[in-house]
Amino acid sequence: MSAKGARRRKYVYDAESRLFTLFLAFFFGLPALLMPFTDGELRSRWENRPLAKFPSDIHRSGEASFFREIDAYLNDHFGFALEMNRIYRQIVFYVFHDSPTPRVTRGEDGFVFLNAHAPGKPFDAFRALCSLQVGDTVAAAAVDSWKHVFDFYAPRVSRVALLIPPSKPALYPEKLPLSVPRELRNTCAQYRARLSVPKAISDWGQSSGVRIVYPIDRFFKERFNGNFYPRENFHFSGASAHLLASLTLASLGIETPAVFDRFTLAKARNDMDQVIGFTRSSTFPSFDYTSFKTKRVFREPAGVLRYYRKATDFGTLNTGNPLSDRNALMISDSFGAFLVEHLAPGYRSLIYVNTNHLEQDEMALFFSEFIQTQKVDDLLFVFHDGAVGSRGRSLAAVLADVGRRWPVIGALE
Amino acid sequence: MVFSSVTFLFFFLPAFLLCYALLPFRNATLLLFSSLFYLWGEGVFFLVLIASVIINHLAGRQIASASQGHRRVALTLGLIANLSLLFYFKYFGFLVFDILGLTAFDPASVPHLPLGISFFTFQAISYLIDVYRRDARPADSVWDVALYIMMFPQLIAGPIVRYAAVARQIQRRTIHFNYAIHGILFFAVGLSQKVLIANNVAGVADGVFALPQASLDAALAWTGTVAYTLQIYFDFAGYSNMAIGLGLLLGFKFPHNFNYPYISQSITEFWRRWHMSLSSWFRDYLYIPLGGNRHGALTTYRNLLVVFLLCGLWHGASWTFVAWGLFHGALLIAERAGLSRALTLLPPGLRHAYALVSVCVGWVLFRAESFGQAGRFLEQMFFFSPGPASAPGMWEYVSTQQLFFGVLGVIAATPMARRVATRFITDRDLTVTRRAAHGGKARVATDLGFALVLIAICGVYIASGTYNPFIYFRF
Repeated sequence: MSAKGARRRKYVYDAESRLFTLFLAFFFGLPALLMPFTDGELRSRWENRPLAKFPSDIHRSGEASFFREIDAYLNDHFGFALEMNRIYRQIVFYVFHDSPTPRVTRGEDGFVFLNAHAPGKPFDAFRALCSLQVGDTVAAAAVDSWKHVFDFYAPRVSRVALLIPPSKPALYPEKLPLSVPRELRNTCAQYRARLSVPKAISDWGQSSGVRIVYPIDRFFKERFNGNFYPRENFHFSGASAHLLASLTLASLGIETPAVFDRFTLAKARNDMDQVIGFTRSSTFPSFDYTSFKTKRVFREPAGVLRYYRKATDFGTLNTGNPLSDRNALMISDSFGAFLVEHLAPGYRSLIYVNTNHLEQDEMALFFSEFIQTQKVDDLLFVFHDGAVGSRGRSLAAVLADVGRRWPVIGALE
Repeated sequence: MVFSSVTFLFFFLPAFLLCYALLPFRNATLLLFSSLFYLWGEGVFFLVLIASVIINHLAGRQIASASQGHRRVALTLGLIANLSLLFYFKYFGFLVFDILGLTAFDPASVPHLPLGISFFTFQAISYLIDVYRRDARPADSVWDVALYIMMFPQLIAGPIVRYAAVARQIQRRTIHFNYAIHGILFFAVGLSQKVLIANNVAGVADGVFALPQASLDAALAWTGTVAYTLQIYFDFAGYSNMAIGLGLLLGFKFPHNFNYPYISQSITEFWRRWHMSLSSWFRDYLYIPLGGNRHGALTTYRNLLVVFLLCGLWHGASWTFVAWGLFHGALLIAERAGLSRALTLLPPGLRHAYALVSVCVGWVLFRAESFGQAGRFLEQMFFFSPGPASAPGMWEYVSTQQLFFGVLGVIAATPMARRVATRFITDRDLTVTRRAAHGGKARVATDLGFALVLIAICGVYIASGTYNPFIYFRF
C-alpha cells in the first residue's frame, strides 16, 4: 500500500456499534461456546447413530472434503443441538401436524405409522404389508415355509405356536394421511378383505390344527375401544398386547382368571421417541399382574450371547404364581418385548429373545442348538403381519440344513 | 460455506464479528475470513480466486498507467483473461458435449465449477471497465482488489457490486449503530426467506420435478412450478438480503437486488425488479456498449437478444438456460414492438397475470433437466391433457408445513407485509417519538427483538438439518 493510500484510509466504528457487534458475536456464538458442555453421548443415543468424529488427518486440510468432515463434526456437536432438534420436531408434529422424519407417517388424530424400517426407503413397510402383489403364489409360499418350520419343531418340542400381531396400517387404514401414496392407502384399506400372507397362514393353521394366533378381526372390532392399540406407538401395547396374550394362552389350554384382566389407565412413554426425536407420552391400559408375582431378569440366560452376538433385547420372566407349570421360549421380532409381560403369568418361566439383529451365519446354531438346550415346553414365534412371510422363508431355509444337528426325540405332546 | 449452515451461523460468523469488532486491521480481518470462507467450500479451487485477484490487479494497474492506445489493449487482455477462466470452468463441458457432441470425451475430465465464479468474474470485469472508463481510480494495492473480489458476504451469490460503488468504502467507512441494526434486520429477514420459505417449498419443487414425466398431471405441474417460482425468488432474495445485512454490519452499502419482482405487470418491469445488480451490469457493460436503443428498432432487438442469450448462459451451461434467456429476450422485444401498448388496455389484474404466467413459463425452462421435461410440464399446465390415472396426489408432495410457508411466501412476495408493518409499527413509532425523546429506542428494541426471534427460529430449523439447497451458488 502506498503511503498516500494509507493516509487516505479512515474507519469510524463508534463504541455503541462495536458493543452491538460484540453482542451479536455472543448471540450467534452461544451454541459454539456451549459445545464443550454438550452431551454428545446423549444425542447419539437419542438419534440412534454414531456422531461424526473430528477429522484427524490434518495433511488433507487443503481438500474440500476435509472441511466437509469438520462441518459434519460441528453439526453433530454444537451446543443446544439436541434441544433445538427436539423443538423443531415438536413444531413440525404439533403445529403443522406433519411428520418430523420421512420414516414416520403422521396420520389423523395423532396416529403415527412407521412407514420404513430402513432410512431412504419411504413407505417400504406399507408396501411389504399391504402390497397388492400378495397373490396366491406368494401366500402359498409363505404357508409352505411355516409348514416346514412347524414340521421341524413339532417333533422336537412339546408345543409350537405362531403369534401374528396385526400392525397399525392393517387396523387403522383410514388414519393414513393423504401424504401416503394413493395406491398404498387403497391397498391398506382393502387389506382385511384380501388374501394376505398372515391370513393365508392363519387359514392353513385352522385347517391343519396348527396353532396360529392371528386375531385381525377381533383387533379390528376392538380398535377404537379406548387407546386399544396406542396411537402414539409403532408396536402394539396395553389392551391389544393383552388380548393377543389371552387368546394365545387360551389356544395353548392355559385358562386365565378374571384377575388376569384387571387394569388401570396409566401414562407411558411411547416407543417412537428415538424415531420422531422427542418424548410423547400416551395413556393406555396398564394390566396389573402383581398377583402372579412375576420377576423379569434382563439379558438372561447369558448363553444367548454365545449364539447371537448382537443380542440386546432378551431376558427371562420367572413367575411365582403361574397359571401353568410350563416353561416357554419366545422367539420374536421387536413386537415380542411388548407381549412378554402379558404372556408371563401363563408360565413358570418364559425366555424371550428379539432376533431382529441375528446374523445369517448365526441362524443355524441359534435355531437348533440354542433352542434345544433351553429344554422348553412351549416354543412361541412372534412375528408381526408385515414380516411373518419373510421370517418364515428365512427360518425354513435355515432349518432345511440343521436337521442333523438336532435329531428328533419324539417329544410330541 | 453456506450462510444458512451451522458452521457459518454458530462458528464462523461469531468468530468473525468478534475479530472485526476488536482487531484494528479491519480490512485484513475481513480478507482473512473471506479466504477461509471460500477455502472451506472449495479447497484448492481457492487458487482460481487468487488467480483472478492477481490478474485483475495487474490489468487494472496497466489500464490506469498505460497510454491511451495501450489502455484498450490492456482492458481487452484483462477481459479475455477473466472470460477465459469463466469459460474454462463453466462452459468447457457444455462446449464439448452439447455443442461439439464429443460423446467419447471423458466426463470426469470436465473441470469442477468453482463456487460463485460467475459472480466474482463479473465483479472483476466491472473493476477493469470502471478503471478504464475512469469511473473509479485503480485500487491502491492488490489487497484492495482482493477485498473487492473476495469479500465473503457477496462473494459467491452477489449482489454484484460495482467497483465504483464500493471503492471508497474499502478505504473509508463508518459503522453507525443504526446501520448495524438495519444490517441485522436485513440478515434476519434474508435468513428467514431462505430457511423458512425457500427450503420448505424447495422440497415440493424438487419432488415434483423428479417425477417421471408420465406421472405428471396438471395439478402437480402447477404445484411444482409455483413452488419453484417461490423457491428461486426467496432463495436468491434471501441470500442477497443476508449479504446486504452483513455488509451494513461491516460498514458497506451493497445495492439492493430485488424489489418485489412478482408484482410486475410486464416482463420489462420484471427485469427492473429481478436481480437488479445483474440486469444493470448487463445494461451498463453490454447493452449500452452494443448501442442500446440508439440505432433503431432492429438493432435494439438484436441487442436485447444478445444480452438475454448471454444472461441465460450466465445462469448455466445448458440449452435450457439459453432457451430461458431467449424466451425473456423475445418477450422484451414483443413488449417493445407493441405488446406493452396492448397491455395498457388491459385491467391491472390481467397485466399482472400475463407477467406472472410468463415468468412461470420461464422458470419451467430454467428448472427442467431437458426440453422434453419442460414440454411435458407446459403441456400439462396449459393444455390440461388428461393426466395418468396413476398420477400421485398433490398432498404426497406438499406437507402442511410446506403449504403454510408457501402461502406465507406468496404474501411475502408482495409489499403487503411491508405496508402493514409501516402502518402499525413505523407510524406508531413516529407518534411515540413525537411524544417522548426516547421513542427511537423503543423502535430499536422492537427491530432487534424481531430480528433475534427470527434468527432463533431459523436456528432451530438449521440445527435440525432440514433440506438446505442454495440455487444461485452454482451460477
